Order: sequence, then structure tokens, then C-alpha cells
Amino acid sequence: MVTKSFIYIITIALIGGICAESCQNPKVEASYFTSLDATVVTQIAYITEFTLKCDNTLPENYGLYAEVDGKSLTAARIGENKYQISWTEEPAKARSGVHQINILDEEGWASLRRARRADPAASVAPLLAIQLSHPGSYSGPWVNSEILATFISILVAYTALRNKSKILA
Amino acid sequence: MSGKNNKAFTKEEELLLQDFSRNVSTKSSALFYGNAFIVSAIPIWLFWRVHSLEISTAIIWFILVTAASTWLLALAYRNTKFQLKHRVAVRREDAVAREMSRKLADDKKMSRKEKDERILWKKNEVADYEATTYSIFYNNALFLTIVILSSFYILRTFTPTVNYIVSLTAASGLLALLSTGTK
Repeated sequence: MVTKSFIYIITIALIGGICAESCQNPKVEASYFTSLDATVVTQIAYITEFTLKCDNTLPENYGLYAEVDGKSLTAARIGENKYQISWTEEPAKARSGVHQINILDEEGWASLRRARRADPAASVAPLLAIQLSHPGSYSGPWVNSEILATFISILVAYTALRNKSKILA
Repeated sequence: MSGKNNKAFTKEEELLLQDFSRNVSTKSSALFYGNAFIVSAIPIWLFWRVHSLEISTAIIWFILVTAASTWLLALAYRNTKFQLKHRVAVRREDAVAREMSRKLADDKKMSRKEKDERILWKKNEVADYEATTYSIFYNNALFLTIVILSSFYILRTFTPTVNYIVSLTAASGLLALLSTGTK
């Protein structure tokens, strides 16, 4: 009897412990940065920093994981409830637009791994989702300026020559 | 009366002389030299910013070449204007005559001779102005095209100083030479 109740208490405590580990009612304030100039960089960087606010206090080493565009990343802890997620991409492959970052805590991550083992396309409801908008990077002008200047000046000179011969005709 | 006739006659002669002379009025001359100076000075900015030619090292060359180019371009403007003026006058004379006749038709006090004189004067003025502006446009267009082509393509491998000197003197020299042609 004592053993049974003891087991119950331990189980409840464990479950309680697990529940307490997870973030209740998560609220996030996020900022992001992406490389806007692709002329001298070899990779385009995407960085997002966010502050997580929960109704309950989070444990010391509360880890977060992220999945974006099929990539699995770990969130780096940069301060009290502040995390940073970053990745790089080839300039040719980097697409502009909104990138959805799904953030999961350890529990969610573990359940995702378990689900993926059975079905690779499985997904788990994320703890929170951040949208990172990349406006595109500038990789240089379409037409080189000296070629454009040459072309325009030749056009104008040709017009001038033609008109002159018309006048003198 | 006879004095007035003499005056009218002399004015026609004056116009004819002006027509056939290559000299330009002070105002035209100022316009030509001013324009030539501005257009010759523009490539300085091009060479400084794009071809990395330091102003402090090449200032003497800038001054000399700009002066030479200004003079040559002004010469080209003058000669081209002279070439064009007659042809422009021929093209515009009917339109000018029509417009002036319409304007002066109501004025009964003016004699026929004076009206003709005014029409002639207006034709000359219009042809002068059109030839001047077209000459400036034509020479500027060719000058800038030659400078761009020679500095970016032909003389690409030379040092910026040499590039500058040769591009500008070649462009303005070529234009001055072409303008002295008979056709």
C-alpha cells in the first residue's frame, strides 16, 4: 500500500516535473537580421534573436531547437530567456521571402524525432513559430555601368551624326 | 530718305558679311567657350572617381589638357556652326518668312523694304541660334562618346595619366580636325 502510493506520488511528481519543464503560454519578442549584400560575401546569414516569456519559470538549462526549411538547428542561449538561431546559405540558393522557423523545446524535439523515425514527413505542433522575412540580397547591377554608358553615348552620337547628314543633305 | 535707303542697304551688306564670315558674336563666343570648358572638365571627374587618378598628382595635366581641349572644342563648335548655318537657314526660311509676315501684316506703317529686312534679320537669327545649339550638341555627343570608348576600351591597359591625356586630346583634336572638313 505504502509502496503503491509511493509509486503514485513519484509518478505524479515526475509528470508534474515534466509539465513544469515545458513553457506554459509562450510569448515571444523576436528580431532578425539577414545579409543584404551579396557582392562580397560567400554566404548569406540569417539570424534571429528572441526573448521567450512564459507563465511559469523555466528551468536553468531550458533548451530550444528549431526547424527551418528542413534544417535542424539548436538555439543558442544568449541571456536570461534570450535565444539566438542562425544559419547560413549559399547566395545562389538563398531565396527572399518569409522563412518559417518552428521552435520546439526538448520534449517536443524528442517527440518529433520519434515520429520521424516512423514517418519522415511527420511533424509536431511547435512551441512557437517565428517568421523571418528576407528581402533578398543585392548581387550587383544587371548591366555594368560602363557598358551602359558606352551604349547610351553611342546611341546619342549616332542620332547626332544622322541628323547632321540630314541637315547637310 | 536717301540716308534711310543707304542705311537699309548697308544693313543688308552687314548681314551678308556676317553670314559668310566665320567670326561669331561675343555672346556666341562666350557660349562656345563656356560650354567647351564645362564639357572638357567633365572627364576629370570620370578619371578621378573611376580610373583612380589622384587630383593632387595630376593637377598640372588636368589644367593643361582642359585648356587645350577647351580651345579645340570651341574651334570645332565654330566650324560646325558655320557649316550648318546656311543649310539650316535654307530649311527654315519659308517657315520664318510666313510667321514674320503674319506678325507684321497688321503693321501698316512699316514699308515693304523694312518688312523684308526684318524677315531677313529674323531668318539669320533663327538659323544662327539653331546652328549654334546643334553644333554644341553634336560636338558634345561625339566628344563624350570618343572619351568613353578610348578611356574604357582602347587605352584600358595604360596608366590613368596617359589615358587621360591621350583620350582627351585625341577626342578634341579629332573633332576640331573633322569640323574643318569641307562637307
